[in-house]
Amino acid sequence: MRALIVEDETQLRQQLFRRLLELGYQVNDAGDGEHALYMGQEQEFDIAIIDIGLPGMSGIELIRQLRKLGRDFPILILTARGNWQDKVEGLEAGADDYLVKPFRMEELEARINALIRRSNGWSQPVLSCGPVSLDTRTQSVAVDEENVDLTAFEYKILEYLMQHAGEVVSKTKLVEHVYEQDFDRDSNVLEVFVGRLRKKLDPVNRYKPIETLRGRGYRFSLARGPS
Amino acid sequence: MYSIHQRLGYSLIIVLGIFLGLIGMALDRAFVNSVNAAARDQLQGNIYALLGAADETEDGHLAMPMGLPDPRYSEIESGLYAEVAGEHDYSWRSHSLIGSEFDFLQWTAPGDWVFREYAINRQNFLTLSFGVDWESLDGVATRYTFAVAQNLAPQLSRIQAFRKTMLYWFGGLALALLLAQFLILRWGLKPLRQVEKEIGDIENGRTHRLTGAYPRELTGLTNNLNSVLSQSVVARERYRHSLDDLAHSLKTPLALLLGALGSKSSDALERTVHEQVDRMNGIVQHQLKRAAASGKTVATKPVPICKAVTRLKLSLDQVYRQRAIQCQVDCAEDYLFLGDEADLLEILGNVLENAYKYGQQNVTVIVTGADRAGFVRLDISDDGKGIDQALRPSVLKRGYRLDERQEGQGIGLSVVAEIVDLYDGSITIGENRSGNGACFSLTLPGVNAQI
Repeated sequence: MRALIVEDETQLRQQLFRRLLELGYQVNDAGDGEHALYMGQEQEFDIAIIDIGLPGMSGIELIRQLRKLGRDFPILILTARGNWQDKVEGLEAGADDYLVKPFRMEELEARINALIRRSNGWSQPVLSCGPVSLDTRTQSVAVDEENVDLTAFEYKILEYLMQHAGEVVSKTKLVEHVYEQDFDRDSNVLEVFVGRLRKKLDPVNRYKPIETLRGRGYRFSLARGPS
Repeated sequence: MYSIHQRLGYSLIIVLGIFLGLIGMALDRAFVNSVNAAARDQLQGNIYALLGAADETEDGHLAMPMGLPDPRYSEIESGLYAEVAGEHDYSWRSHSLIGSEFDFLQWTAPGDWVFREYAINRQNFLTLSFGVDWESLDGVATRYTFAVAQNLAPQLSRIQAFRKTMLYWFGGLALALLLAQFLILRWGLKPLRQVEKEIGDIENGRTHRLTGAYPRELTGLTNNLNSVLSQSVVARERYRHSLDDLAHSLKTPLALLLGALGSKSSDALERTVHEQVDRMNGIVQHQLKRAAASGKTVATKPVPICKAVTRLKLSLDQVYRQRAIQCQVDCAEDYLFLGDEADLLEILGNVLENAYKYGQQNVTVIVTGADRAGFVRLDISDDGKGIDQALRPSVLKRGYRLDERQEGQGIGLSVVAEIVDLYDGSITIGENRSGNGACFSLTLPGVNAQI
């Protein structure tokens, strides 16, 4: 999952950056609206955290511009004053939720988790597709209620595919959302990871959770909902 | 030109100048015309006199006598000259024309008068020629023309004297009018100077309101100014109070934090940090909102209430999407809130959010006119668990000392109560009409939008 942080206060921005990295997100950050807008145009994001009180282009204006460009990833606004006028204006501009500063990191994590899930049609923190269930809070995966050990990369790939369960995800998209930019985008590496993932999830080839569509990408093809 | 005094002054001077100028021109013209008319009449008189003085010869022809009615005809260069010319080469010139080549006679048909003006050697002359049919005793008619010329110097000097007199009089009049204008302006604009002086006193701290008696045109301004002044005093006091309370209520949590530094257990430290930071955060938020509330002000744009409620509903629908709350807004007529928009959103946002949080499925908002004149009533109810009768007073408690607050108690509703109070409004907690859930009833200053 790729997150965009837009916050002009350096310490807070760095804190958020570190925290999200720890949680396994790919993170981009910006200290003002103009940079954020540029990044929003160039990159694919799954969530954006935007401070309302930005120098130059206001946070609200940034949100409007992003929506106008057709960027429809969920947006969480951070507001220091916490007054209703700001909240309403932010939501009307296109944000999805707000958080008043100072906030607890756990609160932020839970909120962005919920926003990402809901934007992909999941109402619960645990994503279940038949026998496979992925808990976004604990970042653990179980098949037929038995825990499966995954590496960080494997988890990220699986999470992205399950969030978009039923949708075709191109290799390029997968790479953009799950890898760092300077990683060697050798598509073969991706295939290797997916292969390993399949082996771990479905060793006897019974469920075939991940489908390869030649020339188009991958799809998590088990139906949403518990078995 | 931004001085009223100057504007009035200059425009009056211009108008005065134009008026006096026009009057002067009219008078001058009238006088000149009258002088000219008199000169012409005089010449006519002279002609008649000459006619009367004319003799007849034995053979019935006209002959001018030696002695003429006016002695000036006999004085050389007297200023009055006469000529007569007639058929059969008759020609006569008065003695006053001796040595002069001035010939002004215009041959004229009998009964016709012809006036002419001449300028010779920088002197102006008015001439009159009159034609006659001279009938002799035996009935033979001969044509003659009589002509008289008058130096206009006396007339001109009369006109000049008149103009000089006019100049003096008008000049004096203008000065008098200017003086009167100046005095009138000073007296008329005195209230403005008084306002200026009083504002200066306010700025210097000698007084804190405008106390003078002002004319009707200024009372709107002065009353408003006094309102604004007293409101800013009230706001300043409130701000000072908030800061005072803030400082006081932060002391305890800060002390507790310092104290916890000495503790041996890092768990205890972590717990204390969490608790006290939460507490301080709550205090800061509360005071911030109190200080930010505008309250009653003189000039605010009325805020459409139904639109504000709808905006909040849409925002809360978005944020609380998961709870799938159905919010019904009953706004039969539109009402306008007479206060600050941010304050209205703060009040309604907090109460409505409360309903969304604790309601099960349905939230209703009803906006109507209140029993109290000049006020609007809003009822926000949910179908949640309701609020215990015993707890109701503390929910809305307008606590200054927030160290008395219980852990976990929201600050939202107490801020609402304080802002409502600033507007002399009211907030009460009751039951939902169907018995389950809570109903918040608010009265706020407002009017029906139709009015």
